[in-house]
Amino acid sequence: MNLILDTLFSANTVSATIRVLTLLTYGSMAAVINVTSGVNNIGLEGILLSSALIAVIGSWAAQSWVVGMLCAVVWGIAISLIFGYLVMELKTNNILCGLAINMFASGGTVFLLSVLTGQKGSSISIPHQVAPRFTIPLLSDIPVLGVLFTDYSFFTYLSLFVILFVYIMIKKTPLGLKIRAVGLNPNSASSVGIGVHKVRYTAFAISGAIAGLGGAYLTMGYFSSFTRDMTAGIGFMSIAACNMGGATTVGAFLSSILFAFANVFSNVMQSLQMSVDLINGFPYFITIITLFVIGFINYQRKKKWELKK
Amino acid sequence: MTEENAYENILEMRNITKIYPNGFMANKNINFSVRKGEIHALSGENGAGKTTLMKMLFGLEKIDQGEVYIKGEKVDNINSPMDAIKHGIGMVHQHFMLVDKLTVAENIVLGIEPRKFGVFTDLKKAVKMTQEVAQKYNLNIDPYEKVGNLSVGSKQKLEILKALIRGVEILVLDEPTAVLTPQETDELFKELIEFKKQGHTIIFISHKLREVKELCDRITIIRAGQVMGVYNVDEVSEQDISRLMVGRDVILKTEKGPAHPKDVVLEVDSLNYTNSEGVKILNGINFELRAGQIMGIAGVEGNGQSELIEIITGVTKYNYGKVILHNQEIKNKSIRQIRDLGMSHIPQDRMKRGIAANCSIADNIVSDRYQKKGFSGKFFIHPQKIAEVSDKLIQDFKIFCSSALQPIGSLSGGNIQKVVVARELSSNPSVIVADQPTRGVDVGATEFIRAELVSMRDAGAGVLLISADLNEILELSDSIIVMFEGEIVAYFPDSSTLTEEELGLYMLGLKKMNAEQVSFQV
Amino acid sequence: MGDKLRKVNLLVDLTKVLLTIFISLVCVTLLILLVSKDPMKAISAFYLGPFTTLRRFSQIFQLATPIMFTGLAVTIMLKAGLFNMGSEGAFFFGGIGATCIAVNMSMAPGIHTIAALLAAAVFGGLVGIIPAFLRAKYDINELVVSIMMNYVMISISMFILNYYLRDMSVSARISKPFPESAVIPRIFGTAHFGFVIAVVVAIFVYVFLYRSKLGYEIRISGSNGLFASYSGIKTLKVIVLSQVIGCAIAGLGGGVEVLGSYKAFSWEGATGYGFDGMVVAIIARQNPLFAILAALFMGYLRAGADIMNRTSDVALEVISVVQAIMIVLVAAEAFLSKWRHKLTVKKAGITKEASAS
Repeated sequence: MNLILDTLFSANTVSATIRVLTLLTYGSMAAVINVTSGVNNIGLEGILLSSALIAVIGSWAAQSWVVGMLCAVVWGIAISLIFGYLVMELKTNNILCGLAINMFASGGTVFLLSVLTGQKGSSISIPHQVAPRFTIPLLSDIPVLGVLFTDYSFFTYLSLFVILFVYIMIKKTPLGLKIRAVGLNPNSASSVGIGVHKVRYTAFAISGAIAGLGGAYLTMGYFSSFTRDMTAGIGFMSIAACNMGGATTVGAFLSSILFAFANVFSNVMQSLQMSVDLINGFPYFITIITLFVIGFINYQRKKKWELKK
Repeated sequence: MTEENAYENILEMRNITKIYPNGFMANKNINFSVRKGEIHALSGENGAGKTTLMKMLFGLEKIDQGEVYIKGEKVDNINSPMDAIKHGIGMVHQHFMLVDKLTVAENIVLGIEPRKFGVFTDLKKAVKMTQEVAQKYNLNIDPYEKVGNLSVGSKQKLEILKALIRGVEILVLDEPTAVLTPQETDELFKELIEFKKQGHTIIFISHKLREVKELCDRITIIRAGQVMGVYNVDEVSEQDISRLMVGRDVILKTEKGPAHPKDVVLEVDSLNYTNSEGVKILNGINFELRAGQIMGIAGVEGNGQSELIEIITGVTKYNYGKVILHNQEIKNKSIRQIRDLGMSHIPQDRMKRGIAANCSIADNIVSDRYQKKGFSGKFFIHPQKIAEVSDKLIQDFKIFCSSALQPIGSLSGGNIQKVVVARELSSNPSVIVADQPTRGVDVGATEFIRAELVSMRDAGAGVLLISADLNEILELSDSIIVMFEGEIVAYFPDSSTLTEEELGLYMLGLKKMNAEQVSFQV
Repeated sequence: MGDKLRKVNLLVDLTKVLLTIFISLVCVTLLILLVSKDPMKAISAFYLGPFTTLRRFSQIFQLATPIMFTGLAVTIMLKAGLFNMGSEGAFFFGGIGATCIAVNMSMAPGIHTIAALLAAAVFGGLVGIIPAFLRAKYDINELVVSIMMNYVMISISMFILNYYLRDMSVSARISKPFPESAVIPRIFGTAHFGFVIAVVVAIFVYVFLYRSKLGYEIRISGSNGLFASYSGIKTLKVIVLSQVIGCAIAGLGGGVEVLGSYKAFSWEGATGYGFDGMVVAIIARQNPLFAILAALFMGYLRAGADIMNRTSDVALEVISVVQAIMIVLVAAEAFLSKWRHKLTVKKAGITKEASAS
């Protein structure tokens, strides 16, 4: 038991949690923007996966991680806009469209990988630059808390700005007001002359850019190469975090922390020689349980009112 | 004055034709023109094409053929409300276009947000803008209130303010009085006349002839997508207008003999209900419905009628009080058990609660009886029997369709409602809950449905009629109860001599009977 | 007029599917031209390969079988109005279920197969319960839950495989070999009788949806849940049952697949058949009988891609690009809608004249 607690609260665990959290933050912030605009995009998984490979290719071709990151962002925006086009102009069901993106990304990345490297498994044969890591001076010297500021990828620090950006954009800017209005009542928004499509395209572009950053982090920070289907449901987990957080910036971030911790917890159990197979399923199991708890609480609250009357 | 001489009509729509994807020709060669500074009525039956015409003007629907002139100049680029607003056209829709979760001020400035430092929304300024425009037009509204908490009348004011703050010159109001109390209607009319004085032009869509006569200068009448005539309102009688609207004299009276009430079939006793937000919706409701009687429930919408209906039909569960159907309390009964006791229910919102749009007419007709003997065995349904019954009901209820296997969603609103009514009245019910049975239905179907309800009464069913249409309530009901703020405030055992005005006083809570007067104990 | 409109809709729908297939094939052809050093060889392998030998031809049926099952599973679940992707996990878990019976018990030939397939269906059905119940009772998004469930089910499956079914004599993580009594016999080449089972299931699903009481309840609830409950249908029960039946069919498919195409359970991760089932269901426009054709078509594409993968330098994953394009275009309501409108207007005009004369 002590061993578990020790491992759980060790510096390693904290930093591992933050690494996963970085990934979930990009995913859930992208999801928050989509949901706020009124259209959930479950193709997030595919955008993360495909932009992860694009980042590798960009970074490899230019031998610059910045170029890789920019490529991933542009790619994320492009896919997200195509999603918008399909959903809004061609009136395709958004869930089917998201599934199509995932399918496209899952097969397409392997296809592209095989074209470039002749292999289908990973991108090790095309070495690329990864993003630098930073330790914040002074803050990292604080005892205990210092670990929060030691040796993280550029993307981890950037994710904090992304949270702030999304929060301010949604709450404090005219664009955010429009996105909210379009999400809550598109007819109302269009009746006052707001171009619903335009607002949604903008929202999708921002969301796609954030997802692109998340993908770039996958291969240029979290890992240092691309492997097939490496997202392993992280996009869906981000959507779950967004749902759980009531599609608010803060709520989604807090839920992301919980999921990140669940992910790391399974690694901890792995070190305790539990069955690897079951442990692999643990983060997903936790996601279901938390979704259930939230749903159950809402249900009970509703029921309680009904009993009171 | 020179400006006005430049054009005769501020708005002209010439030879407008519109065909919907399902092949329905909503507008055919319509010519519609409006002079500056007038209140112009656009009248016609439900489904005549008034709203379609205005939606095209406002850029919500595409014009298939025809031209639009504003201030004498041809405009052919109204593809969205944004364009319409640019051309000075604003529209207040029948169903409000408001974002309930945002505040009044946020709704007002939506799309024209004042900015601070170039990037942020300036909410203080938004509030100030709201107050200014409200003051200018003398409309009272709290900028900080969440729109979801506003009354219907205030929401409409907000809608009008939204148009005015955008500098709209032509204001289109689509059936604005449908949801208002008589008093709120009066207030609205005063406001509209004030706007007219300030130089605004108003297009008033309505089929309420009395209101048209009271408020408007000219009227354009549309029937079945075509213009039947344009008149100065004071030169044409209500009877003439109605003849032009429907092509014959409207039979306002539903043929109905005296009622012969028998045993009590439904009894509601001290019913209380509080909703999930903790708001008390129903407070001590008592009444009885007898066989062979039509009991009207009058009241402005949102005074607990919907919840009462949901409880009686078993959709919502209640805790305090009793609902007794044929001597059995329905508290712990399922919807199906309640239906099996003889309850049938024509729901208010047919698309949401009355039909499954993707399924066929036949599927929808048997939704309450597919599990019964003859219609199905232990596992399988019997298609022949279902076809037989649906074909018969399609014929009896004059439902216009190509076959019973057509998806019901492809029918017109009136025909969909007929399917719902056919189902609910053909199950041999002893209690019929008819919630706004003729809302959004054309005159022909309305007459038909009303006559069916009366004949069900004569056959011995008890009918509980809920309607926002006072005329309908007064026409059909034998007795009337009035609901206000979750209570029964009046009971008229015999409503044949009751007037609309009298009823209005109770509906608005200006008058209230005492407990003894509303008691059913004789 | 109604009948004419129906003909217009049928014509447009058919054209839409054919055009979609055409567009996606053009895309894949262009892609091959772009990346292959010997594109002609690759293209002919892709399009003609499945018809060059009997064995290759049989592959079409073999590959169509699993996606027909998942396609039918998705069809039922979509009809109930749920986007449940649990068919993926159910398929996998069903495979494990069949393996449990196949390798741990000994029975008479035929009976053994049937018992194993029943276990597959039961295992699959179990997967459907949780997302359906959480959705119907607590209004929790079934899509996210079912996808999370897939990962959980695969990890549980791998655990069962590792601890109870594994063949310790080999280093790979595969089950003990299936006994002869449990395997599904071949029809010809690699095509096995699982294909016949799939066709029977397709007919069953059709009858179930359009002729059974529960099928009726599923269609009504799926089209409008609120209305269904107003009509006295117990939607909670209907939704849960529909998802359980759907997932049971997917599970059965998993069982059929392992016993028909493999010598032992040897999947290492998600098969993707669940998602492919969505493609089949959508192309078939949620009609169980059309699902047979859709699955065969997809089987043909996969067989071709497989041959191309082995004989040329183009990877078979190119197929997922085709699938993505197909799903998007078939589901695109606005695609060809202008043409539909034009035809409708024309028909309406003719009717007007006819009635006037």
